[in-house]
Amino acid sequence: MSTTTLTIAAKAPAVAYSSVIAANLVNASSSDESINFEFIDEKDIEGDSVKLTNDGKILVGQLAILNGLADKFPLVFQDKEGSQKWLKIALEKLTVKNFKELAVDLEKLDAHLNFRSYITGYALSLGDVAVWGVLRANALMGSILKSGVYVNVTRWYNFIAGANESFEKSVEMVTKSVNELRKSAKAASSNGKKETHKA
Amino acid sequence: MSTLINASKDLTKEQQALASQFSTLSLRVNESDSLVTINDTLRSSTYLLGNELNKVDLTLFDSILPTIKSFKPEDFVNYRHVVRWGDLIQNLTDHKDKFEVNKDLELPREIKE
Repeated sequence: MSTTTLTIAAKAPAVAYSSVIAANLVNASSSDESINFEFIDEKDIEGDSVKLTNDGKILVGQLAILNGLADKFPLVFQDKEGSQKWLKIALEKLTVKNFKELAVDLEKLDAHLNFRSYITGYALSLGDVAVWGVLRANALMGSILKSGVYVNVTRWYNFIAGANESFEKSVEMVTKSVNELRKSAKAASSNGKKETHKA
Repeated sequence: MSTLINASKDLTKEQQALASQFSTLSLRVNESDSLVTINDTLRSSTYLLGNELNKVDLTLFDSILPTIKSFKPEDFVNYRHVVRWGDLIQNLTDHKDKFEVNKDLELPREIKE
């Protein structure tokens, strides 16, 4: 069996939660593939926040990784095609940290969820994973979701994580790994070494 | 259909109370105050009792389906959460007699009071 590793830049402006969740969903599925995690104490990795390596093949960035995993595990990630529009909106728009700009796309997402329980279809899709992870990584979103101003977005966000434990588990894994990385970076700062942490 | 439901999960006290409330409501779904109550619950909850499908959803769906089918355009605005939930249930259960909904219908955004 080949080895697959997801490498996450812990100091990236937005942690690649969508990719971490996707990898954990693969690990929790009935496929016998197991993806390893590696957190590095850097702002970026090959110019992006995340990288997936598998037998010398390398995917860089969340779009490539999410689509690559969806190709390989179509049963875990439903409706890859129908999710593309929302992958784009998530990764290009919902990452912004300017509230006025963000509000425009949150309104679109809220309208999209008037008559939908999932981003597409009637089961967890690739779009749900992408959008949820990007919103979780956006520092503005915590209070926006709590306020319930976008009622459909808040309901959907709570439902996605509430119905599937891989989401919150991924967040916990990132928090724990980043903390351990900081601790070991502090300890190693005397001899100037950069540390990595394998989760 | 019943395989969709995780019957081994026990309901919390709060969920039990909600379940009995919705059982009562399913007897008078054509009254507008029933629809308002159901819609209010489903505004912040995907299923009646939270994140999982329950028997209560299926019972209420069966009794509310004729009402949803008779919805006028303004009812889709006022009871949008009932429509969304009903559409989820009818697709999960692959219901034979589905109601139609244009999921991209433009609605005024709900403003939180």
